[in-house]
Amino acid sequence: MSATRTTAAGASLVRCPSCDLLCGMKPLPPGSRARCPRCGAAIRPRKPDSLARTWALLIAAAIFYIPANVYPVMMIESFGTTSADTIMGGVKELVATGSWPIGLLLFFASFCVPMLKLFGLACLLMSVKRRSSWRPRQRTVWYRLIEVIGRWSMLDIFTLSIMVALLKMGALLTVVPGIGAGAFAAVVVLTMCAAISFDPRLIWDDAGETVR
Amino acid sequence: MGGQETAAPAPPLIACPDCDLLHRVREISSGHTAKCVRCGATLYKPKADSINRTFALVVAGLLLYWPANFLPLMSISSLGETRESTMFAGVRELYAGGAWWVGSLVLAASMLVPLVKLAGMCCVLLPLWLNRRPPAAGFSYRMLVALDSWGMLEVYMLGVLVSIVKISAMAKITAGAGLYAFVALMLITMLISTTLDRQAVCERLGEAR
Repeated sequence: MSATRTTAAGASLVRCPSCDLLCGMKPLPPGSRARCPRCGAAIRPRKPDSLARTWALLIAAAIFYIPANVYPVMMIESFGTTSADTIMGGVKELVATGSWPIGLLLFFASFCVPMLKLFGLACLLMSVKRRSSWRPRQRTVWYRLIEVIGRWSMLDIFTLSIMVALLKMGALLTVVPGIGAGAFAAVVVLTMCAAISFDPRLIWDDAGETVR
Repeated sequence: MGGQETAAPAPPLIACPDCDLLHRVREISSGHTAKCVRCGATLYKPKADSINRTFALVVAGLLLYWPANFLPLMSISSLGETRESTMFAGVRELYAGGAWWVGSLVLAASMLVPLVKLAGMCCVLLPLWLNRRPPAAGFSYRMLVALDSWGMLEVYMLGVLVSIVKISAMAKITAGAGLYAFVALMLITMLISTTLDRQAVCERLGEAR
């Protein structure tokens, strides 16, 4: 690609977040909004209040993360006995019954991915706050990874929805959703929203790196 | 509308979505990817015959959507009793079990968002395919971009696999007609993301205006 020596913001241009059209910004009267002439999306040089919003969503996700792991995601009642499965309990059970590849998959999707999102985004936020110039490209790649893998933590929730519908054999076998499922679903949604509200361009704004 | 102002379009440049660096737009052949020289983000990726191919896939997706959601995905039999289950039944049982919030999320991510995305794409692509200006094209396109990460059919597919493994320890499980339709629907939504050329669609939306 042939790059120029400036950023869009440096050239007083703004990229439409929806259709990618570059728009020239002119001073607007207070209270009015600039809109993309092609698709009509609201355009701003950077995502609004990116740091504050991402922090708020991330902290809320971290709070929900505790009940998500402490309380059971599903209760399986089979032949008169009830077993409550937490997220890690379900993983352990799968490993114990010999299905360790699926257990590993569930461990990755339900434990590693949310952790990676919480810590990864917190580190990115702190680095932007400190105006760090440390490896901006690496940090951008991390952000893209967090954004892409985020949705895979829904795996546990979808599994629950399938099992609840299928295992319903009268008094013999029933699956009931637990409190942990609601909390875990909140963690997934909040971390996804946090990833969306973070603006990776902030990494570069303060990186202090001169454009080649 | 009062108080709103539209900005003027600029010369053929493109800004990196991840680091804001400006690049000059150059013609590249389909199958190649233009990447940002500074952060490596994808800038654009022309696709051959994008509107025709994507429209065909969207029509196929809209047809497959209904059997995938309302025919039984799987059935289990245990102690002489057989039970079938559909995607929609999962949502209903979550509501019945008191987990309305989880049920709503599953309903949105596995049923509503995929349908709205297919319908929205149809609204944008059908007029373009007929060389007309799409009504409310800007709105439909913006909605498609906003819903991008919220349709999760491929994650649901993995959920089907995990529950097959979990349940097979307890009861005999067989695939239903809905499962085949669902796998086809999931593959189609994945193919759509490889045939849809966002830049080409946006340019056509701009021209049609």
